[in-house]
Amino acid sequence: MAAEALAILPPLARFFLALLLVILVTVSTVLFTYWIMKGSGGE
Amino acid sequence: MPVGDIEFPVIGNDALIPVLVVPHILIAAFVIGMSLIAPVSEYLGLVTKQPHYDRFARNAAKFTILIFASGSALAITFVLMLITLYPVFWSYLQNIMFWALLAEAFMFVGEIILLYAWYNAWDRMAYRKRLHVVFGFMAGLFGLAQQTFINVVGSYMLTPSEAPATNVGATFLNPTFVPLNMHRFVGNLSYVGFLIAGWAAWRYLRSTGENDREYYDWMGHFGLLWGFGFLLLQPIIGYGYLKSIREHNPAAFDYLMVGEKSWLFNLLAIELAVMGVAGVAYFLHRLRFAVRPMPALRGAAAGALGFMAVFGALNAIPADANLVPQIGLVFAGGERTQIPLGDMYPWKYIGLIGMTFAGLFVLALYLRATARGFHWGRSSRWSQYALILVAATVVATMMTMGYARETSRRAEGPGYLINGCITLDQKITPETCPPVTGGSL
Repeated sequence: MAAEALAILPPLARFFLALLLVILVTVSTVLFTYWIMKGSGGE
Repeated sequence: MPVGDIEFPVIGNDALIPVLVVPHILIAAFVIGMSLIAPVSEYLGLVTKQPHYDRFARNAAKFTILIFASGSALAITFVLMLITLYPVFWSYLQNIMFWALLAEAFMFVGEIILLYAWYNAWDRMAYRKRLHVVFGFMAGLFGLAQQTFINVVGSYMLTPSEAPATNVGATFLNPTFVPLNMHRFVGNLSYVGFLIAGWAAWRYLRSTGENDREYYDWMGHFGLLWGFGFLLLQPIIGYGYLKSIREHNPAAFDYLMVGEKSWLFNLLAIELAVMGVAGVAYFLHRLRFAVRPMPALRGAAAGALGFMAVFGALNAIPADANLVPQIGLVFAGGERTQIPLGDMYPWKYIGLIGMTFAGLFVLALYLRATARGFHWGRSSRWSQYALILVAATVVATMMTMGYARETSRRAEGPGYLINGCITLDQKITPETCPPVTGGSL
C-alpha cells in the first residue's frame, strides 16, 4: 500500500511535498511559540 | 532485517528525515545564535546603561527557552526515526561516534540547565548582573559545544577520515570538520541577526506607541548589524569549506559546483545578492537619521549600493544553459551553451570579493554613524520591508545550503549515507571505506 503510494509520486513531487511539510512544521512551531509568548506577557 | 522493512507512506523514508531535521535545524541554529547574541546584548545594556539592550535580551531569552522545547522534540523524533528506518546506518555511526554523541547529549543537558536558569534568575540577580551575564554566555557556549559535536558527525558523513575509526583524533578532526564548524558558527550569528531584524520590522510596522516604534526601529538596526556583519565573513569561510570538500571529496564538489546540483549555488548567489542589496539599502536609508548629518557618507554608501547590485548580479549568472536539469529547465543545448561572464574564474571571484569589500565599506561607514547615534522611530515602511525580505531570504539560504551539503553525498556511485562506507539503502561497502578497527570491516 505504502509502496504503491510512493510509486505514484515522482521524485520531484516528493521533494516539493517534503518542502511543504518542512514549511508547515516550522511555521506552526514558531506560531505556537509566539502564541505562548504573547499569552505570558512577552513581546 | 528481522522486523521487516518499514516504508514511510507517500513521502518515503528519505524525505521523512529532512521533514524533521530542517525545522529542527532552523530552530536549533536560532537557539544557539540567540543564546550568544542575547547575552552580548545584556552585557551591552550593563555597560551602556541603555534599557533597550536588556529589554531585548530578556525577551530573546524567553522566546529561546520556549522554542527550545519544540526544537528538541523534533530532534528526538528525528533520532527515533533514524533508529527505526535506518538501523544499520545508525548503529554503525553510533559505534564510530559514540563519544561525540555522548558529549553532544550532555551538552544538551548543560544548555537546558543554564538557559532556564539564566532566564529565571533575571530579576533575582538584578544586582549581580555581571554574574547573570555569565549564565547566559555559559548557556551559549554549551550550545556552541553541542553544535561542534554534531558537526563532527555531519562532516564525517561527507568526508570520513582515512585513518581507522578507532583513531579518535582523526575521526574527530576529519577533513571538513573545522571549516564546517566555522561556517556554521558564523552562519548562526548571521542567521539570527537577520531574523531579529525581520521580527523587529514586523513589530515596528504594527506599533503605534512612540516608545515601541523607537525600540523596534533600534532592534531592526541591531539585528541587521549582526546579520550583515557576519554574512560578510561567509564568502571567505564558505570558500575554505568548499576547498576542503574539493580536496577530500572531489565528486561531491563537482556535483555541487559544476554538476547536476550546481543550480543550488546559483540560487545561493541570488539569495546573497538579495541580502547584500537589501541590507545596504537599509543602511543607506538609516543614514538619513544620523544625529549628525553626513551627506558625503551617504553619497559613498549609495555608490556602494550600486557596486553591491552589480557584483551580486555578476555572481548570479549561470555558467551554462543547463540550469536545473531535475525539472527540465535546460535550454539552447544545455552544457554546450556557455553564458558570458558565467565562469567561476575570474568572474565569480571578482563578484564575491567585490560584494565583500562593498559590504565592508558600507558597514564601516555605518558603524561610524552609529557611534554618533541615530534618531529612532522614523524609518520608512520600505526600509522595514527590506528587513523582512532579508529575514525570509536567510531562512531560504539555510535550507538551500543544508540541502546542498546533504545531497552532495549522492555524487558518487550509488549515493552514500556515510561517504564510501554505507550506501543510501544501507549496504556497507568496506572496499571503498577506510578500515574501522585497524583491519578491514
